[in-house]
Amino acid sequence: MPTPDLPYDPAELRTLALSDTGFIFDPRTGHSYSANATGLATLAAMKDGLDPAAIATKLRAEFKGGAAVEDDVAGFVDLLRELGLVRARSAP
Amino acid sequence: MADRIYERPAIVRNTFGAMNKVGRRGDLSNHAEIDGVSIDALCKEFGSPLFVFSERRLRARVREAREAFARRYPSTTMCWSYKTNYLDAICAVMHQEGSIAEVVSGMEYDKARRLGMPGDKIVFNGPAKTETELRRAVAERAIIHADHLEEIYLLEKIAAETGATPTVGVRVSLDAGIYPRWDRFGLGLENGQAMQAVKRIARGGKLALGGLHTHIGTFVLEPAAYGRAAAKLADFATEIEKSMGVRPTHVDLGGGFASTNTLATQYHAGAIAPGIGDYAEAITSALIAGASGTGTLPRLFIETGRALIDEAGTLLTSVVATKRLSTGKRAIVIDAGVNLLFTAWWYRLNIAPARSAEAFVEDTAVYGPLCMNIDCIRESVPLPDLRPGERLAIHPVGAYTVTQSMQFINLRPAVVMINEQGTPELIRRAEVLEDLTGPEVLPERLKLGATTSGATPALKIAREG
Amino acid sequence: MSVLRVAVSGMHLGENCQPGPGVVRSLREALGDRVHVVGLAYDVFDSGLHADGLLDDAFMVPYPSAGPAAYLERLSQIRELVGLDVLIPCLDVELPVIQRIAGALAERGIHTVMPSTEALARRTKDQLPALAAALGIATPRTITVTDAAGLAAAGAELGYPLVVKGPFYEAEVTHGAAEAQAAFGKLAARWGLPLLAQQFVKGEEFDVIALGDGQGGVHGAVAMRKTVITKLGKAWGAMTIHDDELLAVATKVISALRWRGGCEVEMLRAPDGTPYLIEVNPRFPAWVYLATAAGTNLPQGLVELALGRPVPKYPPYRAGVFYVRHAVEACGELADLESLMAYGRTRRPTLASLPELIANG
Repeated sequence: MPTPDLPYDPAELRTLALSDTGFIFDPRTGHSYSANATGLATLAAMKDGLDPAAIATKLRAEFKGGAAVEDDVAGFVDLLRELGLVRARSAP
Repeated sequence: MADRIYERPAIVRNTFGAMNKVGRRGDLSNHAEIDGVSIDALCKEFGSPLFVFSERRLRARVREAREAFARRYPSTTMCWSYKTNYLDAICAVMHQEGSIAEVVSGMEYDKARRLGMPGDKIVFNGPAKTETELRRAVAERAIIHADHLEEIYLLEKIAAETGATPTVGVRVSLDAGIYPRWDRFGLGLENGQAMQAVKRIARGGKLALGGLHTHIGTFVLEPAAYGRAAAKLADFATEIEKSMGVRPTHVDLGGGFASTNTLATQYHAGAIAPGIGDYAEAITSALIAGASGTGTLPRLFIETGRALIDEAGTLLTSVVATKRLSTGKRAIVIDAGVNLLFTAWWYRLNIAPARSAEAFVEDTAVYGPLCMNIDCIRESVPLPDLRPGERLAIHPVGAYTVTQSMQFINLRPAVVMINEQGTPELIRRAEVLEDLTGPEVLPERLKLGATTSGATPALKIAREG
Repeated sequence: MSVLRVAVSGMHLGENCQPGPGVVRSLREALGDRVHVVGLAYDVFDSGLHADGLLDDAFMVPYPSAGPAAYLERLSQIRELVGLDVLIPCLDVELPVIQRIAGALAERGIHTVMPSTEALARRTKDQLPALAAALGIATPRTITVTDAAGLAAAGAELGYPLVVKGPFYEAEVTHGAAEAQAAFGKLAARWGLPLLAQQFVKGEEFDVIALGDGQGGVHGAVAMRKTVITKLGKAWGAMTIHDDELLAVATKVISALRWRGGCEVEMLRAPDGTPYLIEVNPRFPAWVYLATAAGTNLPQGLVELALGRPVPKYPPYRAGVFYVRHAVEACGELADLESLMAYGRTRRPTLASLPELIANG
C-alpha cells in the first residue's frame, strides 16, 4: 500500500532482486549492485514500505554501534536517487 | 540479535570491466601496529598526525644493502643521502651502520659536521656550492664532486690562495639508456666535457683528481641501467689512466634505486621493484668486467637513499570527517595533508585502516585538512566505512616526506622512532607556534595598537568620522 | 591415472583476444579428462568463464597491480580449495608478479615455467631495438616517449604514419601529430609511461609461436602468416607456413634470450624481403590453438616442462592449416554473475540462487 508521505515509492523497488550475498539486480535496467549488510537491510525495509524512522529502529535492533542512523538512512536514500533506483518524489 | 557491527548503509553499481571483488584486496592489509606498538596508542601519546620510523626495519635494510655489495665487491662505501631524510636520529643510525654522509648543500654539510662526521667522511655533491662552503670543504678534506667547470676554477682559486691541493672528483652525466635522461647535473661523458674537466684537474697543477660520480635518475626500475652506467664509468676511468697516468680514487654510482612505493604512472604495484641485490649485481659485475683491462677494482661509492628508508617510515593520521561528493562518491577528510606528503604528487601511497577491513569497501577520495583544493592524498582508494577518529597508516613515506614537509596552514607533527626493543622514542617534537614565528620580525609601526601615524588613511577617516 | 590440475589465466575473447581459451583447448585435446582446468579471471564477464565446456572451475583473482603478496595469497586459497599442480599465466602484466612468487608457488606444489628476469627485460618494447641490433636483425626504429613534446619530436624524426605503443599492450598507427597525441593520451592513461613511438614499416605480418627450453634451445615452433587483421591490428585469421628464414630469426632471438616457456615472435617482411623483428611476447599468443591443430601442441609441452618431465619431440608441423576466428555468444544466468561477484568463484550447486528470488518476486 503506497504511503504518500514516504520519501520514496516502495513500488519502484518491487522488482529489485536482493540476495543475502549483497548482490542486487535491477531487472528493469540490467544493472547490478553490491551493498553492505546495512544497505541490504535498508533496501529490504524500503521494499516493505517502512518509513525512514522505522528503518532506523530496525537497523539499531539488528546492528550494534550505530550513531546517527537516521542521517545515514536519509543519505542512503539520496544515494539510491543518485543511482536512479528511486526517483525524486514531488511533495504531495 | 545485534551481533553485527553497524556500518553506514552503502550500495555501489557494478561496472563492466571492474566487476571483481577480490581485484583490489591487496590494498587492504590492515596496519594495527608497527613493530608491535599499537598505532592507536602511538597517536594517543604523541598526537595525530604522526610520523613513525622503524629502527628495526631501517637497520635491517641498510645491512641488507651493505651485504649485497660486500658479497659481490671488495670495497664499497655506503653514503647516506642526507636530503632523503636528515633527521638527526635517522642520520645517526645510518652513520652507526657505517655509512658516511652525502650532502648537497652547505646546510646539509653543517648538519653532518654537527653530528660528528669528519670532513673526509662527507661526500659533497650539488650543482650550486658556494665559495664559502667550498673553502670549508677543502680545509676539512671533504670528498668533493664538481658539477661544472666554474666549480673547478673556483677550487683552483681556493687552492692557490690557501696552498692546499684539494682532491676533486667530477660528476659525469651519461646516457644509461633510460628515460628521462638526467642531463642537467655534471659534465657530459659522450660529448667529451667530462674528459675536458678531468684534464683540467689533472694538468692544472693545483688540484688532485678524485673520483668519478654519476647519478642517472630517480626511482629507476631497471638495474641494467646501472650496469650500463657502471660500465661507462669503468671505461672512462681506464681511458683516464691510459691517457694521463692518473687513476680516479673511486667511482660513485649515486642513488636512484626504487623502493616498494608505486609511481602514479606505474601499472604494477611497487612490490615488484628490483631488490637491492639486483642493483648490486648489475653495478658490481659491470665494474669487475670493466676492470679486466687494468686489473684494479676502484673503490665503489653508493648513495642510495629512498630504497633504504622509504619502507621504514609510516605516517599515522586520523579521520576527521566523511562525506559523499555530488557524484555519490565517498570521500574522507584526514588530519594529514600534502604539506606533509609531497610524495603524494608522484606516488600512489598505500592508505590502510588500522583495524582490519570489512568485506565491503568503496572507492574513496582521501583529502587532507588544508583548505586548498589541491590537498588530495589519493583520488580513489578502496576503503571500508570509516568513522571520525579512526586511524589510518600511510605507507611507505620514509623518503623525502619529512625533509620536504612544510608549515602551511598547519604546523608539522612529531616524529618518533620505534627502537629495536620496541619502544617509541620522540626524535622530533611537534612544532609550536614559536617555531613558525621565531624568525619573523614585525616592524613596531605595524603592531596592533601602535600610534596612528602607521594607520591606513581609511582607518584615519573612520576614526575622524 | 591421476588428474592434473592446471590453472590458466587470460580467459577473455573480446576485441583483444587473450590466450587462455586456446591454451585450455590444447590441454583438453592432449589430456582429455586427465586434466582439470581452473580458469583465473579478472572480471565476471571474462568470456571464457561462460563458454560451454571450456573450464572445470574458475576463480576471480586480484589485479596484478595489487602486487605479489595479494596474488600469492589468492593462489594459495585456490590451491587449498581445488588443488593446483601447474599455473600457466597468459597475460604480460602477470609475469613480473608471478616471477616474484614463482619460488613460493613451487613450495606449495604449484609449478610454473618462467623466463629469466634478464630475458624478460631484454625483450621489453624499449629494449628490443638493442637486442635486435646485437643479433643483426632488422627492427623498426623506436623512440621512448614520456611526454607530449617527446612524442612530437619522435614524430618529426620518424615521420608519419607513426606507431604509438603501450608498454605492455596496444598499439595505434597514427597519421599525424594530432592523432598521435590523442593515442598518447589514451594509452598513457591506461598503461602508464613511458610509451613508445615506432617507425611504421610496411609489409606482410608473420608470427612464430615457440616453446623455449631455457638453455637456448627450442622444443617446438610454428610459423604463420596473418590472413585477416582487425582494425586493432590483431590477427583474426592466419595460415601456418614453412618459412625457414622466419623460423631462423625467431630461433636466434629465443636462443639469445635463453627463453624458458612459451612465447610469440612477431615479424614483418618488408617489400624488399627483409624480415623485421616487431615484438617478442612473453607468453603464448591467442592463436596458440592453430599450432596445436597443425600438429604441435605447445601447451602440453609446457606442462611437461613445468613438471620437470622431458618434453616429447614434436614431429614436423603441417603448413596450410588455417584458422578464422569464430565469435559466439557465451550465455550465463544471473546466478553465475552473483556467484562470481559474491564468492569470487563460478557457481556451485551449494551457493545461493538469485533467479529463484526473481521468479518468486
